[in-house]
Amino acid sequence: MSDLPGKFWREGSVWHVDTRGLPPPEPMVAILWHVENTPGPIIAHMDRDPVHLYPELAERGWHGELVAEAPGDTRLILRPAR
Amino acid sequence: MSMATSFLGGAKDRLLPASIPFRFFLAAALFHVAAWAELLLGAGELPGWAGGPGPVLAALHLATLGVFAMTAMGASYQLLPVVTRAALASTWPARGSFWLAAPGVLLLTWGMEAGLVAHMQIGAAMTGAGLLLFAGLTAVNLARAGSVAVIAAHGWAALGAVLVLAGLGLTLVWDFAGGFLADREGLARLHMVWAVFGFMGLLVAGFSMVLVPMFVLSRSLPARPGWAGLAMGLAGLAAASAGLWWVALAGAGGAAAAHLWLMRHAERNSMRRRLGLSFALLRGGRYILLIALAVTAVFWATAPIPNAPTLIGFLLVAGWLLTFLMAVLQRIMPFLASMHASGASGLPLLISELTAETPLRIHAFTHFAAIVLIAAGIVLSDTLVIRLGATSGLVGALAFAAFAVNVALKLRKAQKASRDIRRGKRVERRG
Repeated sequence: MSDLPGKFWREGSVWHVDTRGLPPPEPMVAILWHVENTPGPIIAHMDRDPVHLYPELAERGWHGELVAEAPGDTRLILRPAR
Repeated sequence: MSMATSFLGGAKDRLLPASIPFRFFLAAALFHVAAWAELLLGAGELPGWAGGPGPVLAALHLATLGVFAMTAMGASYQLLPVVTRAALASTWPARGSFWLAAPGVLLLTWGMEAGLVAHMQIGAAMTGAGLLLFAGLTAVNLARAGSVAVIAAHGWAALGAVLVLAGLGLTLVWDFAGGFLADREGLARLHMVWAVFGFMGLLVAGFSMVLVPMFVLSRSLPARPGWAGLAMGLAGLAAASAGLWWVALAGAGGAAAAHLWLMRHAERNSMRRRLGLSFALLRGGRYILLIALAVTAVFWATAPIPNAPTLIGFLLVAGWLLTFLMAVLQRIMPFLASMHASGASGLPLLISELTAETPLRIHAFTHFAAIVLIAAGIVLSDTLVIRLGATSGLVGALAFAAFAVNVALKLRKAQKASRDIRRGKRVERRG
């Protein structure tokens, strides 16, 4: 886990993954590692709306909700799809 | 905001309409079929082929311009804005480049097959104009790229190479009418070197630094080997242009070694347990590149390899680049379709629902069989073995075209269903 790109921390049952400033494809790598290794939910802090992440999330049975979108600070809540 | 709406909203500036990349990919799949069919027609003249109009020249350009350039253009338009974090300045040049290049390739290769100089000239001018539009639009995008310097540098170098190879290509076509070149064979060799190692080789090396880590889910690759590979590749191209062929081969070998080291690094650090069929093709293509470079060195060291120049050209074009591009296409077509298509739930369609394993397995098997048979046929000067190989390649290309059309049809169906749902919701709200 120490090799993972980005910053991550836990608040209660929610994992936060901060990938701001990372080059592609590191944001996707960091988030998918957490998707595969935590039960969710995850709050992802990103530079921008991650177009390439959505097909990979859907493939893993997860979905995301955009909760804030500003240049350089986009946040998504990721959860397993019901 | 649901994922589907956020996906279509915030990302819209960097996500082109699906019709733009898909028209290039579908054209590439069709030109792929035509390339193998032309090679089957020209099987008899392949072993000793030394240039000149006919089916072999047409097959070569159906592969390089029809498959390679079309795939490179479609993939660059869609992926570069995401990598460079800068939206395309405008979409009309992307559409325009297709409507110049696709009919241009058809006309050019028809002229090459039948020896019709006017067709070749008009086709070459149209294809060149399409490539120029592509180069201009990509240059504007690269100029706005703040990060990923090593990838942008590969892009700039590839754009420079496309101008050189297009200039050489147009000169060669006009020479068919005028016969003004003193050393046509030397210029044709240089045209091929700039096409294979310049435009396509540099794009393969640059895009692989983003695409392969994305496919295998590994961390981004170290930049230093990428810069070293680029420097050696460019030195090799300069040496080839100056006629220093051994230095050129050393440059190509160094660039290939840097590329292979980076790809191995990405695969070793992969988060995916199974890399799948496309990686069998990617690895196979890399091994064939090494074999081609080794055959070149052995041949230049005066070993008697029958029909060596044709063998080397075939290994580079069909064995390395075609294998690489088919691997990339089979990964990115379902991936991009998934980004563009929402299912009934409003979520993206699964990549696994959009792909089709059987045609891809048929393609992989018949493609490698074709490479082995045709390479053997060239060395043995055996037309029957080459015909068998070209037939195998044609079967594989038809299977690949079935896969590509299937992805496009599923995308179209999903987009139509999504539009119908949105229309239904609007009617409900009004009611």
